[in-house]
Amino acid sequence: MNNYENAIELKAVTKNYDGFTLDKISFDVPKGCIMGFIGQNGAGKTTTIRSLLHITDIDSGEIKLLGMDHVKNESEIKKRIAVVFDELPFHDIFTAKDMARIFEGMYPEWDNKVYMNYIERFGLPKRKKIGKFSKGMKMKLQIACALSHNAELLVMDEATTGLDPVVRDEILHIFMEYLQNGERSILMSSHITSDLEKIADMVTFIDRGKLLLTGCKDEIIEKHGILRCDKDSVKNIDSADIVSVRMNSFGAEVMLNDREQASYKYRGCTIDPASLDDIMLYYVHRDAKEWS
Amino acid sequence: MKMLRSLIYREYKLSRGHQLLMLILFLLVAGCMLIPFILGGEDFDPADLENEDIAYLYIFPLIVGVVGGAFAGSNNGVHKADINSGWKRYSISLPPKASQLALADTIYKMGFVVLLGVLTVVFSRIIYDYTGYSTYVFGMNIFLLCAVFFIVSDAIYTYILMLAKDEKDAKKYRIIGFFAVAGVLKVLSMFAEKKGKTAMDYSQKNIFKEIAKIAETAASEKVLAVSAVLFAVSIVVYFAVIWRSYERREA
Repeated sequence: MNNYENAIELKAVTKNYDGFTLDKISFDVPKGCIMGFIGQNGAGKTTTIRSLLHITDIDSGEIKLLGMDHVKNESEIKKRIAVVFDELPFHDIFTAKDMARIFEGMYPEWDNKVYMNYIERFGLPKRKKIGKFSKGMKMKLQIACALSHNAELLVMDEATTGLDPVVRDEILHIFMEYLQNGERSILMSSHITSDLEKIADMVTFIDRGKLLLTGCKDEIIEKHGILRCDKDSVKNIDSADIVSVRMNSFGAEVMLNDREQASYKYRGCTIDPASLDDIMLYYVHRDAKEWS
Repeated sequence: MKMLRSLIYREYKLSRGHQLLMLILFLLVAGCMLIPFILGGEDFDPADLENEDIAYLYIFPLIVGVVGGAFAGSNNGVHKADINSGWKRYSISLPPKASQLALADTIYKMGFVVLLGVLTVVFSRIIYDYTGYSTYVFGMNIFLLCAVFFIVSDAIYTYILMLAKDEKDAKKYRIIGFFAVAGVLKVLSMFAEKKGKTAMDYSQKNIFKEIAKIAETAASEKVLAVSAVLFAVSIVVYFAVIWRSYERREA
């Protein structure tokens, strides 16, 4: 086991597709941290995750997982990480018991007792074919498999998408438990920002293949604010302070990129805190500046 | 070792239905081929056979060898199922290396080849018990040569199929793979036609005379050695091709 500061390190990762470029993406996921990876559909979240798992080759840049090169040390890395995709990648004819038999030979640290505990906790049948599971059950099974070999890094691509709020909440709770020893880290891509607001320590936001924000979730939320004013007053706001402006029939809502500074600059105006959802929405429209 | 056992167990669980069906069909064909001997019973006297009649005797191991070799070497559907379920992409995030995945595939395939190979030998043994004529070498030659052809075809087909990323892609690549194998077959048949005779020639002549000629050649132990070498080469080719296809990453 090697010492590392960051569970994930991406440096200027670039991947070109026809009509889409993942453009010099750089961010770190420190050890013991949950990183929320957000962006709208097609922003490049899945491409980034596939690149770091070496499902796809990158054109340039550097990726380190658990302090090791993601290609040179691929085999060692993969024993110590776990991956959860949005769709269950297990064959329908298998049962939960079959999956244990398959994974126990693959992972040196696979623990059948832990796995069976999760299966019982999630209320999953051991001998029923996976094809007959509901979407929620399938996701729980995938998570049970991911958490049963003492993985130091959990990478999830839209793992909570399509699940009802009760199941989502239960799964998020499990992730919080999983991180308690401080040695484990999670990268969780999602466009359901409310989930990330609940559990993420840090957030990385990408849009159209470009990195827009990365850092501590609380700092990002703290830093941004929504100023509400009438349409004519927008012109009095310094354009350098504005992310984008949303026009509606009652006036304008301006997303400001430095709430504290803006509160001195625009005294008398109400600046409300922004949620991750708001921040994402206003950044997506940053090129248009004004939108409705 | 534990890793290989897991990978082979997975292949077994996925393909056992397909392989059980192949096994039943093989046993049915072999059973049907034994009917004349069983019905002939004690009336059969090997001394009654004239030279040309021996060709009739070889048609039974020929059919069993062809069917056994074809079933043993053909694709078992695991790769297609892996692409359709998303396992192929997911497996890249798992610890097994491409070489280990290819080795498990090859060992599992070899296991089925050995099973059908043994059954082909058992079939020849039954014929020997009834007739006193040894068709072991002939049967094994036919079995191995057929298996070689199907193993190499499967390697080509699987390599092309594994270019597919997901279920949608798989359909396209399956068709391309099918045509690639058909193309190879066509080239081989053209080569064979140049060297030898066409299918038309065979239909015009007494097929049993031709079988007698084939049997004469294929019953030789020297040919068996060549078949065994070809079979070993086909297994190595299969392993190398599958290894390469597991190593490949999505574009």
